[in-house]
Parts: sequence; structure tokens; C-alpha cells
Amino acid sequence: MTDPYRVLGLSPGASDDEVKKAYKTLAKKYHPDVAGNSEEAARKMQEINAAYDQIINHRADYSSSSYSGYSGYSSSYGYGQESAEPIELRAAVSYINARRYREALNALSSIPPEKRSGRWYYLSSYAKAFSGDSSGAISDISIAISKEPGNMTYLAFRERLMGRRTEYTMHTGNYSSSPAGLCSSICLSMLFFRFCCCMI
Amino acid sequence: MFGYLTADVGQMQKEEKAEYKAHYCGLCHVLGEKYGKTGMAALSYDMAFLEMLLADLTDSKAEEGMEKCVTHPLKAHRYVCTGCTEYAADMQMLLAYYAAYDDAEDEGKKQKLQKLGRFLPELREEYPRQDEAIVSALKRIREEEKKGAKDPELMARLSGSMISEVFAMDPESFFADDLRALGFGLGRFIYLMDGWCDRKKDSKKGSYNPFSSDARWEDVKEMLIDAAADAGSAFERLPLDQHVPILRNIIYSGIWMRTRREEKNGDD
Repeated sequence: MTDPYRVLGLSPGASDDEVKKAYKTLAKKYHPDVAGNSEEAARKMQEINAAYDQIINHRADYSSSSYSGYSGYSSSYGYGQESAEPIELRAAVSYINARRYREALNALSSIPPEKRSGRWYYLSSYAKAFSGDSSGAISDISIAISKEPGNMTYLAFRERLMGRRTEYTMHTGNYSSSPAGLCSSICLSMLFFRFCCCMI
Repeated sequence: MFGYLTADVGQMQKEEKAEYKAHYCGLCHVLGEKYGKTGMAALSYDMAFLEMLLADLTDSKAEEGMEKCVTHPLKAHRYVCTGCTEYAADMQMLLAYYAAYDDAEDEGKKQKLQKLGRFLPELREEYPRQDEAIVSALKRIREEEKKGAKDPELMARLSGSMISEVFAMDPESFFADDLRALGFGLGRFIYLMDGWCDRKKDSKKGSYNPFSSDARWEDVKEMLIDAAADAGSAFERLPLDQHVPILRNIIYSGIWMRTRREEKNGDD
């Protein structure tokens, strides 16, 4: 697979800001308004989009060996599981890979509650997380984990979900009048201690 | 439910403040041009946020001007309009109409609804997707309210689904889903914050409120952080490079201004 950083003309380890700037510059260059409706430009645009998506959205997957990059989603189930898998779950995976999360949730909802496996809850959690329902995502991944306690993929995904909250509070720390009492419950690290001007 | 996406101005650089204000005035300018006084009265910071966000994302070209206006009649001030200002203005009108519709149902205030209603047919025709999302979410919210449901998360998600379509200006865009997730998180946040801030007023008037009387701030705060964190994470996924400090200020600090005010007043 091509190095997504190279697609954007960057060296690996470039910062998010650099990735975003590079993406925008290239996106402008290959925009139909500038480049016309050529096939070449459209293909280039797809490459740039995929590279951006891979760096920004799948970084965790990219750097860990349990996944493999952009198509990592399906590949983590690549060991013959698919054939035994209900068609609704396979459809959900395709939708997720196409970033069509609501359709993924639709496909999943056709499986009756008593037949929902750990994997069902994982896929549901994944689709919810990317369509904005984080509390639903957290509750679903917890069920997935309770059904298959040793599954590293599920555990890693829960970490990632919880990481959002930590990241958010880290950012709020940059503002001296950070949300009142915000830190009191989730100030986990000494690093942020000095920002904890908890008023409650 | 307007006015929650404001900036924490005290934490802004001078240039950032000027830029923010110029975009706000640009939105007002377009509202006035297209919808007259009714449009200008509907102006809110929420859609100024949306305009700056979309303009940055799409690298929309900015056009500047100087003008005197009704609220600042003496001194001419700078305003900035982009290719996204009209969209933000249109969404402002659509949302304002449905907010007025809600008020009319609740309190029988019909005048504002009539004024805004004049523009509805055109807006509906141009934005059927957004309109449909708002109408269906509001319908569900009404149903749940009638049942007296005390499920703030469910209600907040409905509100989120409505705002998420408003944020997705171009559904074909590669970033449409990230915009939806951002709108969803902010819509959830606004609903929860609004419900929490209004709970005393609602209880006095006997109006519906999603929180039960024994709801605790600690629990509400968890829900708010969750919604805000979702918005924050979607925001950070977008390739933005023009107004990031201003937009971050709003997402990470400005949206909490109301709780700070409440606490100052000794409400909590």
C-alpha cells in the first residue's frame, strides 16, 4: 500500500496541521473547477482523500499490527469468518468501509436482539461513534467486551472512544477559564493538574 | 435554543475578535439583504460559527466591505462575506422558523411565526433534506414531550440529528459525515444545556423539561462533556486551516459560557 504521507507530499510523522494544509493545497489543485473533469484529476482526488482519511482517521489502525491501514476494517475479519457470518453483518462492514454509517446501523438493526453477538455490538458501536452517538457507542462496546472479554480489538476501540473525552478536556485546559468543574471528574494526569481550577 | 455556539471573547486575540465580528456582521448583512428586518432579527452566533467553519473547509473566497448598520449607525465597520454566508443565512431562517413554530405551539405567539413563514416555501424547496430532518426530529421531540419522557439523551440525539443535516452543506462532500458528527455533537450539547438552564423556569411555568427534578449537575455535566467531546473529535478530523483558533475557542470554551454564568449567579 502506498504511504499516505507520500501521496500528500510529506515525510512520515508530519504534524496534523501540515497534513491538513497539504491536503487542502492538493485538493484545490485537483478540484474540477481548476483541473476540469478529467479522469486523471478525479483519480488523484480519490487518492488524496484516501491518504487524508488514513492519516487522520485511521492512525491508530495504521500504526498497530492488528489492523492494516485503510481497509483494515474488513481485513481484521479476513480469516474465513465472513462466510459463516450473517449477511447483515457483512453488509454493515461494507457500509462502514464506505463511511455510510447510518446505513450500517440500518443493516444491523434487522438482526433481532437475541441474536446479537459481541461482533454485532462492536460494529454497532463503530458506526455509532462515527455518526455522532458517542454515548450509544460506549454502551455498545461495553456489551461487546462483556460478551467477548479477551477481544483486543474491542478493548482497543473502547480506549479510542474514551480517549476523545481526555483529548477534549486537554484542549479545554488551554483556556484559563476552562469549563467550570470540567476537570474534577476526569483530570487523570498530573500534567493537567494546574489547569484544574474546579469551581464546584 | 439559539446563541449557544458563542466565543469566549476574553480568551481571544485582538485580530481573532475582529475577524469573528466581521463574519458575524457579514451574516447579518446577507440576512438583511435577502430577508430584510425579519432576517436581521433572526441573526445568531450559532450560524456565524457554521459560516466560518464551512468557509474554512471549502476555502471559500472572502469578500469584504464597510458599512453602517441599524445597530451601529455611527461608525462604519468591516464585514466579511464568503460563499457560505448565504447558506448560513438560509439555515438561520429555516431554524428560526421552526423555533418560532415551537413557541407558537407552546405560548400562542403567532406574530413572529407569520413573519418568518413567508420565507418557508422557498427554503423548503431549496433545502428539502435539511427541512425534512428538522421536521421529523421536531415531530419525534413533540411526541416524546407529550408522553412526558424524561430521557434527556434520547431527546438530545433527536436534536442532534436535526442539526447534523444543517451542518452537512454538501452531502456529496468527502467530509459530509464529519460535519454531520460535529453538528450532531453540538446539537446534543445545545439541547442538554438548554434543558438544564431552563429547568427552573420550566418547572415554574409547568412546561416540559427533559430533566427530572432530582437530576444532578454532575450527571448532566458528564452528558455535556460526552457530547462536546464528540463534536471536538469530529472537528479535529476536518482539514481546517484558516479560522481554527476562533472555532476551537467556541468548541472548547465558548459553549460552556452559560454554565459559568449560571454558577456566578449562584444557581448551582
